[in-house]
Amino acid sequence: MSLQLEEVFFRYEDQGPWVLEGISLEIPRGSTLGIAGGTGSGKTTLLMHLNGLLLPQKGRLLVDGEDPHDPHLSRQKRAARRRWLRRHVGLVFQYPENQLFEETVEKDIAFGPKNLGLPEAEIQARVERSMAALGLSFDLKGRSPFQLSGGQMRRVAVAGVLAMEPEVLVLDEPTAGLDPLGRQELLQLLLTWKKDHPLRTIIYVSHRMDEMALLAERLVVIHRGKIVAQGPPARLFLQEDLFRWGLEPPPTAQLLLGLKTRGLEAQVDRLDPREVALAIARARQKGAPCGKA
Amino acid sequence: MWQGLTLGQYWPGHSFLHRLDPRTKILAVGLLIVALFGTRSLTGYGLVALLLFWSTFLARLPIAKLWRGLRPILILVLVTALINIFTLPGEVWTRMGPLTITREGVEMAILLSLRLVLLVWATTLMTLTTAPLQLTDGLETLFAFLKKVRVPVHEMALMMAIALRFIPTLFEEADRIQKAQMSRGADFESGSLPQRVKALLPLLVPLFVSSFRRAEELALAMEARAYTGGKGRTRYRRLRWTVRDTLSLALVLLVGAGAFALKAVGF
Ligand SMILES: Nc1ncnc2c1ncn2[C@@H]1O[C@H](COP(=O)(O)OP(=O)(O)OP(=O)(O)O)[C@@H](O)[C@H]1O
Ligand SMILES: [Mg+2]
Repeated sequence: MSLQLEEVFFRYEDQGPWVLEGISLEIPRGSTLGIAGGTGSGKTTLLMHLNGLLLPQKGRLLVDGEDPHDPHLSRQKRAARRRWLRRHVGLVFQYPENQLFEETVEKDIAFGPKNLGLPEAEIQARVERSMAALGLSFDLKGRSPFQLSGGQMRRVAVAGVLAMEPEVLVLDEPTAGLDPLGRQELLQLLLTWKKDHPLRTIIYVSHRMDEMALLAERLVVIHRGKIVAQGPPARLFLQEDLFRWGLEPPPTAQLLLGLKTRGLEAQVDRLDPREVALAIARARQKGAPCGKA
Repeated sequence: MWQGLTLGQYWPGHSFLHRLDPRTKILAVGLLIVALFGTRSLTGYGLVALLLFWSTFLARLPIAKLWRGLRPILILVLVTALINIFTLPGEVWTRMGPLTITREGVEMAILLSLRLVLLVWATTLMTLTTAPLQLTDGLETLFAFLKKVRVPVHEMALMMAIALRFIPTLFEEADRIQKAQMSRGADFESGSLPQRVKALLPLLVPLFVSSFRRAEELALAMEARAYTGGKGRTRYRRLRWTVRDTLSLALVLLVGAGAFALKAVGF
């Protein structure tokens, strides 16, 4: 399914400043979108619009071209559309402790599938599948989610959303609080999920641009509630000054930029370290000035 | 959805009413309650209403706040009034089908509604102008004499303070859980009213569990600071009784007595 925001405005207090100020964004089916922005720029607020937890105060949200909050619809119809939206857009909250609520890990992961009205056996299968996918030991099933470590909580939160098999997977800083290995594993999991379901969509919020380079096809930068830049991550990192929006380009991009000021220009499409290393090697072979140094 | 429910919450300020000793305010509300229940005269209630009007003016509260405290009881007032109007026997004024309206019924309805409104008005004024901790301090001091007969007054006051402190937290928590459940397909919006009320049930268990978790955390935090109960505890904030308090209480006493006097002479 495709999502589209049209000139969306939102604020939390009646007379307060706009937290989202005219956001227009198109998210076609099957795309992988990264959203970056400094602290308090409005990322979480934006995500909550995508699954209907918050309603635009001006502008609108279109889901496959239709507005689930359309005031011309009957109340029942609107409620049905919103329910549909929430069941197909899976949101992993920024803080897992805000998302978990059941007494046991198993029940928490099963909550979504249950609401989808799936048969018991299917629910069970999905719980185990998503726990396995996130490397959660089945011993944890009976534990309270609140007796887990932060990293484990994070995994349970992601598993609970994955178990719904959403068409659009929205993740709000999902790697915060994970160790480097856990971070790698989660990113790999997302890449695999995407490869297995090419028509599903991932929307990914992070402060870490190396993750964006690895994952996102398109990156949107928001600053004080407005979209200030968008495009393929590699292009943004090499052409825009991210620091003025409180962001830092990934080390690979900084390396390339540094080399460029010294006259070595390497061409890359993607910014993962291996590819950058190869590109630099290629550029040097062409006899760039760097070789004399 | 849960925002509107925080009624009668403390509204910080420095008005005359805010600066009164909490004991004065508690005693004043107590006196007014006695007066309202002990007298059944419109003029007496008018006197109390006058006092409340003046106090409200002195408290410098936004009227919307006070209104929000009173609004929830309006339905109760309406229902009581209607029942009284239609059921009390007495001198018949008009008939509406099987229903009759009597003079006694109308009088009673007015009196009871007024009593309810004045009661809630007085207590709302108190809770709006007194910080919860002050309120419990006041209660603890007022009931300190019960400690002699081993009533755990301090502990009870502390329980009240904690309960008051956690009301807003509870609403925030309900909001959080509801968002989390809605995000995973729970439906709070569609269906008939009974269906929607039923959808709230799965909210209660997690709310309960999380309250216990919070209680445990709080207990841990208190023990970590060596809390051992009321015995031998000294206070950081001391209550100070001033002339202002004596005079205010005297005035309330006068109004109460006035209400009784008016009733006695038959107004
Ligand atoms: N519930 C709320 N009530 C009032 N203001 C809020 C609320 N939630 C967020 N805000 C304000 O809205 C602005 C945007 O918040 P938001 O959570 O969307 O930022 P963010 O980009 O997700 O930041 P972070 O990177 O820190 O998660 C902030 O200024 C914040 O103070
Ligand atoms: Mg955020």
